[in-house]
Amino acid sequence: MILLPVAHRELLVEARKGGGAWARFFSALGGVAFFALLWSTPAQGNPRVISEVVFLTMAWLLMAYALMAGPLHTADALGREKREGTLGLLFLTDLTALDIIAGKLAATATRSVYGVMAVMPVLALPVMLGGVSGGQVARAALAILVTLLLSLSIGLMASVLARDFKASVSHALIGMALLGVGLDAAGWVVTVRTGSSPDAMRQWSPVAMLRWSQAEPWRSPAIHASFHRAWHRQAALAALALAVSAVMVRRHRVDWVESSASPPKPAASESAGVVGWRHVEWEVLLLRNPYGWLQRVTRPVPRTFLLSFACVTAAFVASACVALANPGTNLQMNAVVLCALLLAVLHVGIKLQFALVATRGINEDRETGALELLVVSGIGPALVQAGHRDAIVLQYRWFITTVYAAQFLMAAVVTAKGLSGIEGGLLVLVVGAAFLWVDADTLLRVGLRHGLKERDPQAAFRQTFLRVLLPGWIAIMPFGVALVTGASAAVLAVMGCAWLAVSAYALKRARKRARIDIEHGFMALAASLPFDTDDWEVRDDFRRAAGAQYPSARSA
Amino acid sequence: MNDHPLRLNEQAPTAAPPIPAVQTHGLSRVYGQMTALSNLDLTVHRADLFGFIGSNGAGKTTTLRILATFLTPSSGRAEVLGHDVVRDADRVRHLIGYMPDFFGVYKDMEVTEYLDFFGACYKIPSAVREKTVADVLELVGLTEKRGALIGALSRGMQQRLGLARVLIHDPQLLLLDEPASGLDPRARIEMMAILQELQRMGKTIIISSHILSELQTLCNRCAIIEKGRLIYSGPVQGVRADSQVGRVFRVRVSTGNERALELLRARPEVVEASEEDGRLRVTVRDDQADGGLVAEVLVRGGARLVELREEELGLEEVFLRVTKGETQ
Repeated sequence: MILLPVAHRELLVEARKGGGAWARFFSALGGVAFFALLWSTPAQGNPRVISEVVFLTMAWLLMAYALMAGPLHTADALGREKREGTLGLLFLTDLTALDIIAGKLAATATRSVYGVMAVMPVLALPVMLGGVSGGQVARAALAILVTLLLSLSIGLMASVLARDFKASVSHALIGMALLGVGLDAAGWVVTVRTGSSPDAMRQWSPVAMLRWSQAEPWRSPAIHASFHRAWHRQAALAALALAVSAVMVRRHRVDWVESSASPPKPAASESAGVVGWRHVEWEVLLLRNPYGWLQRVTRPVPRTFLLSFACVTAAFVASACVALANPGTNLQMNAVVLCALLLAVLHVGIKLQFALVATRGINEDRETGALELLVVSGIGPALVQAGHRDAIVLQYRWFITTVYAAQFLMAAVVTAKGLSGIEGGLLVLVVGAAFLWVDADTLLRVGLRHGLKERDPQAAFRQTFLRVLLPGWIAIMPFGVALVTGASAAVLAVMGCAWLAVSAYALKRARKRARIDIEHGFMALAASLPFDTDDWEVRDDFRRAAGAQYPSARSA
Repeated sequence: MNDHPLRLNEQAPTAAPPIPAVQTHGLSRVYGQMTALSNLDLTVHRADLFGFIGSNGAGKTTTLRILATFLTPSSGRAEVLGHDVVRDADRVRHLIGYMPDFFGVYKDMEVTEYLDFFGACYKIPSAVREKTVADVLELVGLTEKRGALIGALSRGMQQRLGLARVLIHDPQLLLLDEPASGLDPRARIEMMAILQELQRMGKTIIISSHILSELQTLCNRCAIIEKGRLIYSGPVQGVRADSQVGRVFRVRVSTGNERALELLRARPEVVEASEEDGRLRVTVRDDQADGGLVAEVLVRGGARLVELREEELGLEEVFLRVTKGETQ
């Protein structure tokens, strides 16, 4: 096996980007800051309780990151090579399919493992405070690392199976959501309904594995045995995903010898017209009314997303109906918890989809050549941004409406007799709806920004996710922990306000950066557009037009 | 420079007898209902610069992909330097360098990093790799761009880099699918010069291109393919004679062109006669007539012959005459 060339190439490119050191630094800093914050909370008093809360919170955060690692790091690892036509060339060399898969995994795993390893020492700090044993930390670390491997392998498999970036990331996300949350939730539903625990099914779930990792062998040998079986199954699943990836990548190698930009049929290249060999949808409209084109050209919604969204929505409605029909019972409480979980899945799902389409939309425009036409059309960055936003909102209007309706239903569920007053329902409605609106709008802007800055759609999606969604999720953790550990109302109010202030500032800053970067990105594009057209005379015409639209770009 | 692997077989063209570098026997490839290649029998000799000519969809790329081991034939077989492309695929991949018409490059790498990466993929020892990379860069004229990011290179330079990648493991056979497509005139001329240099070094090159005028001056042998079937294969100079497209004469008479055209069109040996720029353009059948017949017909008919010369048919014209413009 020649593992080094592919891994070396990937690491070389990553090293040039220079984000690895910062990723490690911020991971460790986040862990230390979180630990310090909890330590300074006055209400807890008992160090054993604090250490347990800190450990569990960080372990679950790391698990969440491990579950997302595949969609964030590997889901487009081979897809991009397929689209750009570089993968087929590797098959002319001595590399085998396994070499390529293993090399990709080794390179992408390095960055993710760096991040996780940076936090591991902080994860072990609670051992010194008591309340958490060394065995628990070691087993949690093993569970997180094998989940990371599984997630990266599933991501790679998705990138082998799908050529399109959105499809491969959607497949990876849904795969990990099913494994991570779906199986455990399904096991929980079965337990609630029948009273028996379907461990055989849950052993495929990383979430259940992490939960079981906390059982001491001398206290709960059965649960400990379940942890071991789950660990082996996750490792086997990861190996299977890698093997399937290697077989599939070999089988379809002939499809990937040329870039997606190559003309599929002579007719397509002839109709491409002014942009040479590239095929641009609705080219006439793009030339005559670029803003109209931006609003009208909607990309198809991935079928996997559509199907998953429909299933989760149906499950949410069913759970809400159960909760409303059985007031004051245990079943109602269980159904409400399930409702909350499913609503969170709907929120996260639609937000991730927004991040995906926003980053990929402008990236596709660049690949098809439409961006060049937009730059020279003179409609300006603000209208390009608005046009993209309109198109995405138009495309996903029914999904957004559904999530808002679900938010109303959730408010109705919590205000139902025996759970909460009207103020609780209003809080759920307002907070949920406001966050959906603010997050979605910011994701669109920031997604466009990174889509314009990064040629690699996976990097653009990762940046968007890390800068918009993840900080908010992490920032709310101390508030949640303080709430769980019984902090005073004053502490909670201060922490809540601080979180809101930090989030608002971060979002405002992200929006401002997005606006400036999009404007600068367009100027830079105008100055150095590659214009990868066959026709060098057309290319020069484009350059002149771009210079006329953006005179300041000449000096950029 | 003598120890560079690319230079080792410089003497090959004069020393080696014409051993086939590529041989196909009844090669066919079917995609569902469509036959992309049909019973292709092709021979390419060593050190040939072989032009592969055909319309879009004629089967050129399919043939090159089969030779590059990317596709398996539906029937028939193909050999590269004596090795079967299906059974000895791994060996064949070492002997060939394949450049697709639209290939991708890692735009986020530097030129030397890119070549070094492919060198490592071919298991070239790191001690040799540095020198090999420097040599192929010099050969394709990219030495000055060795530290540049690939994304910043022009299309022509990226095409040269693609050629450098193809040469990195010193293959004996180069399969180049439209290597000059998308290049401006200067880059195209430079690319052709590099190919001639490679032929001089003993490489066998199969080049598919639509720019027939360049192939005519560049290649020593060629093949014309249409709708998956071979129409002609042989020396470029013999393509007109072998293809039976006829001989063309330019004629000037001082006694009126209309009368001369009448006389010529009355003869069965004359395929076509027309007036162009005040002169006559007469096409006669290869095996039945020559310039003497044209002169005899005109003089006997009372025309005063001022000029009669045979026109050398270009590859473009021969191609247009022997093909019907049919695609798959």
